[in-house]
Amino acid sequence: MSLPIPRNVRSSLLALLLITLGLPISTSTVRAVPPLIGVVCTYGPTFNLRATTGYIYTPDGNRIFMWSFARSDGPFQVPGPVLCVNQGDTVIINLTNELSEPVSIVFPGQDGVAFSGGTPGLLTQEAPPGGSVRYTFVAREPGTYLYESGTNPHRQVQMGLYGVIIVRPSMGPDYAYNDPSTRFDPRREYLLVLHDIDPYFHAAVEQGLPYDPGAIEDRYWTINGRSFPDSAADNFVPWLPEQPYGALVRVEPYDPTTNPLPALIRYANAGMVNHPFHPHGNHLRVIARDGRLLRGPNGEDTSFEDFTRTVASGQTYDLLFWWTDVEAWSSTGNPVPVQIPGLQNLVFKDGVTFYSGSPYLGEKGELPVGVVSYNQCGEFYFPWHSHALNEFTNFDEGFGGLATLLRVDPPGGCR
Amino acid sequence: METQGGSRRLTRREFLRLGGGGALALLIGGVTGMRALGASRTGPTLRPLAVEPLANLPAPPPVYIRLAATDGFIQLPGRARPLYMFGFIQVPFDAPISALDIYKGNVQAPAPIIGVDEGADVYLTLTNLGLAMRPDLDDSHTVHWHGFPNQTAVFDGVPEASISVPVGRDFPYFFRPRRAGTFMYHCHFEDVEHVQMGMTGIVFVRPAQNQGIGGIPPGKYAYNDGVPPGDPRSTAYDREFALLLNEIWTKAHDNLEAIQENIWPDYKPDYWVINGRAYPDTVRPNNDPDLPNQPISSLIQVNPGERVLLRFANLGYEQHAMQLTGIRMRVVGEDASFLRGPDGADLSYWTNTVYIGPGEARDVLFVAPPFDPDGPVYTDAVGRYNRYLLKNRNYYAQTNGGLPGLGGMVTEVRVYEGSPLPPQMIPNETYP
Repeated sequence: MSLPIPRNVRSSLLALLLITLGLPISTSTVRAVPPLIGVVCTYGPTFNLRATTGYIYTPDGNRIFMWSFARSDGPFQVPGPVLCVNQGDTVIINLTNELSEPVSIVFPGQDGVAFSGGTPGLLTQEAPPGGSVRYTFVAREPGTYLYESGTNPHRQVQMGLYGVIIVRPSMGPDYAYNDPSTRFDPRREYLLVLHDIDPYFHAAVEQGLPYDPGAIEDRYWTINGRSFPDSAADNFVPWLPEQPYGALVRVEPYDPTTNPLPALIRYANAGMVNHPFHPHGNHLRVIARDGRLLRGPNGEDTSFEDFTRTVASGQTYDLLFWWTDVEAWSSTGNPVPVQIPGLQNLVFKDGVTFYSGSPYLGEKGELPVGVVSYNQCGEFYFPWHSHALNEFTNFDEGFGGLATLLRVDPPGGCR
Repeated sequence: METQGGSRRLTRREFLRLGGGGALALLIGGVTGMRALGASRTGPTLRPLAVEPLANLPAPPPVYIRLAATDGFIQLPGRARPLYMFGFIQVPFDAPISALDIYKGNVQAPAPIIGVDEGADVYLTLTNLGLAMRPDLDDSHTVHWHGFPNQTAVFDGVPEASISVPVGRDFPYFFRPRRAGTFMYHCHFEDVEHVQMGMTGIVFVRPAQNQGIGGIPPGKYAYNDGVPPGDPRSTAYDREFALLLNEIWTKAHDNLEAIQENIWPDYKPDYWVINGRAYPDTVRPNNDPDLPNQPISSLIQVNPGERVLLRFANLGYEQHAMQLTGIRMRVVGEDASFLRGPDGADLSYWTNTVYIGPGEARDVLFVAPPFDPDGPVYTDAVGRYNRYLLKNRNYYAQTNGGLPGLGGMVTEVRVYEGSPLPPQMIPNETYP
């Protein structure tokens, strides 16, 4: 059954494209200006965080009560800030608790976490309500790691108390690990943090009502705190003030001389269930799991490729991604070998499309009058989504939820 | 049997003549060359696979497939009423759309198994015939080749990122597969609904190595493994079986039939099927007349000592743990990726239980054990055999609608006394 995209979503997507239009992708060397897409780092190695409450918005217009880690000098945000450190850094995290119950942070994958202040808890030292605690560890191994609440995690992590730590290798910021095969294009580093939300659970916590963690039935799924299509919008779009991180993945075609380096994709599953995460467009090369490079006992490269990666609850993966214009179809000399039917014989679902009207990369074609196209310069779009398709929804509405977009620009980008 | 919606049921002969019955084997040859064997390392850095052009190689003959999208009914053990489905059925490639009315309401579940050769030009036309039971519902459809590498948007079948095909119209998809292995295909229009309703199938790509290259004899291989059949790393096989895993949430199907909405996050399946059938129907032969809309068998009949390839694909929304009790399996491919590292490390692994997430595929080899006359021995029309159950280790998926007894996502491997079975001509072939 056909369900229209809500008007607010349409305008959001339109705004997304207007904002993106013509702006180059910022490079990682420019640290002062956060990028419009890709990883937004908060740099340490000392971080001051607060555990606090706020609300996020879903693309169908609902508002959900959340708990999250925010910067002490910044607004509420979901997920918590992405903490970027260098291998060997001594990382210090000062946590202040603005909740009415104790809270803490655990660091899966980090060794030798020390603490000072706070009160003893079951898993780690906790910050009491209104109090604080300090955690200290040495970031010994590069990779992608979660940090999350270690206090009543069945409530606190579900409510949003999670974030990601990126440890950059000593080999340099354009490597994922200390191995030359993990070099990537630093303009194309993407972090996709998965989470699931049962709005009734969140409402019960907000209202102080009883709840049963075993009875959770998720209705929303988020990447970087946003459900699709909000997930495909830029970082820091004004209509999602407390969900600052977008999840659009944007690449240009592989070229052995002009564009040889892959994008680096970092997955982290902060939710309670496993998610089979599937990109359209191409396979991914899985190079690391849980912050460890995939190597055999004799150092052999045991990385592999797949088109769906089931990211288990609590897991992280690092993956390399290329898209290659293998067939190099073009209207001038190498047309597709079939006749694309005329517009009157095609459907553009709900009158909104990411399609350019042309089958050719970098070319635009005709679209029916009244069809809104978000396409700028003939770029390709592909969904990147959970293949548990019941999660590819916002409540009952399809083409939402645990999904983002892959955008493939023509060589050299949109001009 | 007359179908709902007034369309005529095909006779079995018509069905087979039109190529719509059972497993569809596109047996084609002609490849004499092949690309690099998937090495992806140039010096210390990696590069993407499959970027070499095929232009210098003789292309296999082109393949022409036409699938019609429509609806119909299937049968499930323990359920009195037929179950409403959407799906794809193969129809003649060149027939005018007006001649295809006989297929409307004649859904096939799942869609045909499609096998093509690496490097072949694949012309796949989708025809939207509309829904016999729901004339009010004029949904468009698409074909998405799930996992197709380096896809072009217009042929990727995502309605929001390209186009979809309205009722009464055709669309010509084009694919040139350059990567061997097991994939799947499905409709991507309102996918949570259309995939659950049955618009799913397996497509696999045979490696160029099958034609015999570089000292490796012609044969059947899962991948371009680069080693002779006697090598323990070889992916050579004698018989192949495509096994598509789905769950069925019958309430959603009944709701669709009754023009009711579904809340998809409430997903709660009550049947688990292989190739659209629940056990014991899974072990009925291909084109069983009692299952006219579920023509594909999952029965695995083998001679002792034969090498068997299982091509698993999961287009359900749950993870499945497929356990073969008594025979060890070697997983050689995941998601149409040969399990070999960039430096040649053998990443294949042995297991009794193959774990498969939604949207994932596995290529699995096993060697049929000798016939054991002292073990439990059963008899069918072929002869005496030992039986090994291939079943979902998640017990809840071994039921039919919660009824007592073994059912669901279960099938049988039958290893016969002697070697009574002739060479396999099509995937999933059943005997006699």
